[in-house]
Amino acid sequence: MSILILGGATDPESLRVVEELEAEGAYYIHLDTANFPESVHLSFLNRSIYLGREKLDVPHVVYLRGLACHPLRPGLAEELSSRPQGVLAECAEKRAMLESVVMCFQRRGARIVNSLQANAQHSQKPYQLALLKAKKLPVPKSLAANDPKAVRQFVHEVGKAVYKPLAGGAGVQLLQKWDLSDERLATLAAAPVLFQEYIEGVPVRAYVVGQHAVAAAELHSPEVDHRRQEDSVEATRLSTDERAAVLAAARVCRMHFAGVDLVRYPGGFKIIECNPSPMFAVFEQKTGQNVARPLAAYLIECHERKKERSSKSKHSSHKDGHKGRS
Amino acid sequence: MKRTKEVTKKRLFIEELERPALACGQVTTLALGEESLGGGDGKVTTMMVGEEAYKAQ
Repeated sequence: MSILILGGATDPESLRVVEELEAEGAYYIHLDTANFPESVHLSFLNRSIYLGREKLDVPHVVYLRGLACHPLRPGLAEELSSRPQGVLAECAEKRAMLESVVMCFQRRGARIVNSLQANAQHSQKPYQLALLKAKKLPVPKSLAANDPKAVRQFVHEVGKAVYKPLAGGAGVQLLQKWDLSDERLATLAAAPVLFQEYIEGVPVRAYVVGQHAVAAAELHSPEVDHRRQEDSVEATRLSTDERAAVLAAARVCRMHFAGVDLVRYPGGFKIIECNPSPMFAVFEQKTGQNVARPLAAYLIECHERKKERSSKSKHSSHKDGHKGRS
Repeated sequence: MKRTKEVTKKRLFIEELERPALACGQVTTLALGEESLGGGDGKVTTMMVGEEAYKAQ
């Protein structure tokens, strides 16, 4: 097996990559993580992994689009409410299996796009910001805290601020005066929050594949968080500095494929975050830029390089697999 | 006389996190949290709250 896609069978991003792989005649397997374990059967026996009755060869490269293990994902709310322990246990067991598959393939030489560790950065925003800052990349001043005093001090220093979850799952909000009341800040005892200086400017999403920035667009919105309301999406050209920064960001975050979010303002830009499993299907539709094609090309290139290395070292002929399976 | 202990209900600073993630968001290019939520349930939204946060997990 050359290329393994881990993602839902109807996931738009997985399907776009499948489309591009098929256009190139590439051999791949699309493992439907959304329907595991309901209708997709996986077995892990000693070191071997079986999809149904078929043993899976170690892929050369894996596109890890999604494991569908999160208990808070859309569609589970009702079940989570009626049987919370059961749902949490299901998700944990599913995660244990799929992550073990990924880890085994990684250990046996597969390139994972992107690794579990890289994907974990979605829920580790302070860590990711520290990585970016350590490489001297421009990021907003940030405070992750549950300490009301620290929050008041930070807001006093930065002036206008926004807040967002450390682990994602909710939008960015502008911090209001009343958010600094004793009553509001007392809720930090339930969970810490990420506070950041507000950067007034135009949000940009750039996609990085390997060593290349392959697409970028401005996302125009009247809202602080452009995902709440979108006026327009316009393809844009990254400046030399922006390009260098997004490539450096993906590199330091150890992402072979990344959706890098920045905010442009007069005279500069700041990197907001690197997404390890970015959406791009509708982005492509709205901008006319192709993200799936360079991603598929990257997956194929990884496969070809490993195949060549493997046949050089083993002096054996390549086993032909039939094209395209899901 | 028996005193009833008042139980304070815990609330998060980010109130949006107290609510279930939307199954189908407004069609914006990127959704709130879309890159970490979700998991290919077929809802073709551009991006939704939590999607980018929940999908890869």
